[in-house]
Amino acid sequence: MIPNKKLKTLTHHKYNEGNFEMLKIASIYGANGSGKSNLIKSLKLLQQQVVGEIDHSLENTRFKFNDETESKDQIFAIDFIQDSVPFYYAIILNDSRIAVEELYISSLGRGKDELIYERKTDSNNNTEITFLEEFENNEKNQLLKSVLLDFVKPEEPIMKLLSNRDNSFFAKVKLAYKWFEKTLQVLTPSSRVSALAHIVDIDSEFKNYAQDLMSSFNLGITELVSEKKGIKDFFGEDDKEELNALIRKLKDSPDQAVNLRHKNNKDEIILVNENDTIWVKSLKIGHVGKNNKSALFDLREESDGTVRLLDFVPAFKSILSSKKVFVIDEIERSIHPLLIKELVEKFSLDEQTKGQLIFTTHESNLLDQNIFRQDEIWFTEKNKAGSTDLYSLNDFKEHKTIDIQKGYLNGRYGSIPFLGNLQDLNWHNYDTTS
Amino acid sequence: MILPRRSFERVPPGREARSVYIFGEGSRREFDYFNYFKELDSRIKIEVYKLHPHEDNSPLGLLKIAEKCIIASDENPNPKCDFIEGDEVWIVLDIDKDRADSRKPQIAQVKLKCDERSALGI
Repeated sequence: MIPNKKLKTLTHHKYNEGNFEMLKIASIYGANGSGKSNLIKSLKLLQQQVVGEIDHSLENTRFKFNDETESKDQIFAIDFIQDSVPFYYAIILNDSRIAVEELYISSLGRGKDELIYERKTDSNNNTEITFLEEFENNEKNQLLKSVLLDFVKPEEPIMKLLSNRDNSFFAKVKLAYKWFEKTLQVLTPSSRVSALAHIVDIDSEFKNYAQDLMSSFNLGITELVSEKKGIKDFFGEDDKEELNALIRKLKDSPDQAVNLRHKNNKDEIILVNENDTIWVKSLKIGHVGKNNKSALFDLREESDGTVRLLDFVPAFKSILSSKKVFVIDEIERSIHPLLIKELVEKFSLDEQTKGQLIFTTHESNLLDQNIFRQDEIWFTEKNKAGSTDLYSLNDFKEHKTIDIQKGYLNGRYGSIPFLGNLQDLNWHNYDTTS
Repeated sequence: MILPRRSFERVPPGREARSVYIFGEGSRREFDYFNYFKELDSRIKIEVYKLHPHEDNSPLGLLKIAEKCIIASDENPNPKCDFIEGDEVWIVLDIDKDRADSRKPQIAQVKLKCDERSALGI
């Protein structure tokens, strides 16, 4: 997300952090199966590794076209900035073992990166950790290190473990961990924002923002209501055991909240412990209809598009006012292209924003130089080896196509589905009934 | 360190977004031949015109077809190709010895017209 210094369009898209320039948007286009989502999945996998919430659907993500003799190592590396401190973090994953993990203060290409720690775990699961010299030279720290080594699990990064120590040497690790835990937010088509019912209840500023945004989409939505019930009123007295298990889970949870969302149900219900009173909060959507009569609807009664838009509400609020990084896979999923275009355009043209938006899409309607700089537009394409090439519109020599959407659809930048084989396919060959 | 050398600069633009439009005198073989290259690499941006057997495939005939596909006019407001400055048009002819001499004048005519167009930037 580094800008082309010579490009003079949309200059307010450049954020400056300690004299380092970064862009606020990256939009990634590509055909089906070209690797857009994999890019996002790899970021999510790294995040899940660090914060310790492994999603099993992301296991076995190794490149399947490698020979058995080739290395099983998967490398994940990233440079990021948290609270003005630049970091470089990388892991080498070998099956489920973290073979190497390293955190540095990144020089951002302006000198030498400074080691914070390096961890190595060999195939016999023996782990070694090296810290910066200042730390290693202290005798007390050697003791701390040997204690730490007892807690290291071969399949888990140690960043979380270190960030939980109250040791001034680990203050920087805490900051880096904060980026993975709080700053980076990855939204996949199936992921849902949690705790919306709770936030709408306790944060009136957020509620007003969300209501205004949702009603601006002209979906007939007038208000968002968090319905609050006592736990017994909500569940009844029938299944006490299950209820008690739920209360235990709630009291054990770090933020005293448990999401009760059912997998196949879109309803947004959350259990919250507030000053030792347990509430069940559910989100309802207010609409106005015939004769100006208003009524509340459950989320499961709303269209997929409305529910998806609700997921974006906290995202767009965050990137307006805080230095968060929102990564959204298939931003146009379930939503009308014009609506998405307007939402992204509003973010693009706003000069007060603070966060970054990275998204993938098929929607060529979004390819508009009034919304994005050339260096903010990226394409993915599957190469001959079956891996993904990621390149930018900025890689192309200057040419006269003002209309990049047309240029893209005409294949000037590659990255569109190659349809030749579809025209040649005689699908009636497979019709066995005739 | 796993990645000691990371780039924090944008690479200077080096890729071409130029398209090549090809008009060949054969209706099948030229089409297949050039499309083969198109499938090789998405960086090869060519559009091959599929000639119908009844169309005039003489050098001047091909030039007329090309003009119709590329140049917008009042009668032809939406030409088939999205032609922009920097793009190329190729007229592909098979020259065998027997026919070469008889076709020379026509080819010269086509060349002259192409040069005029190039001078005008079309």
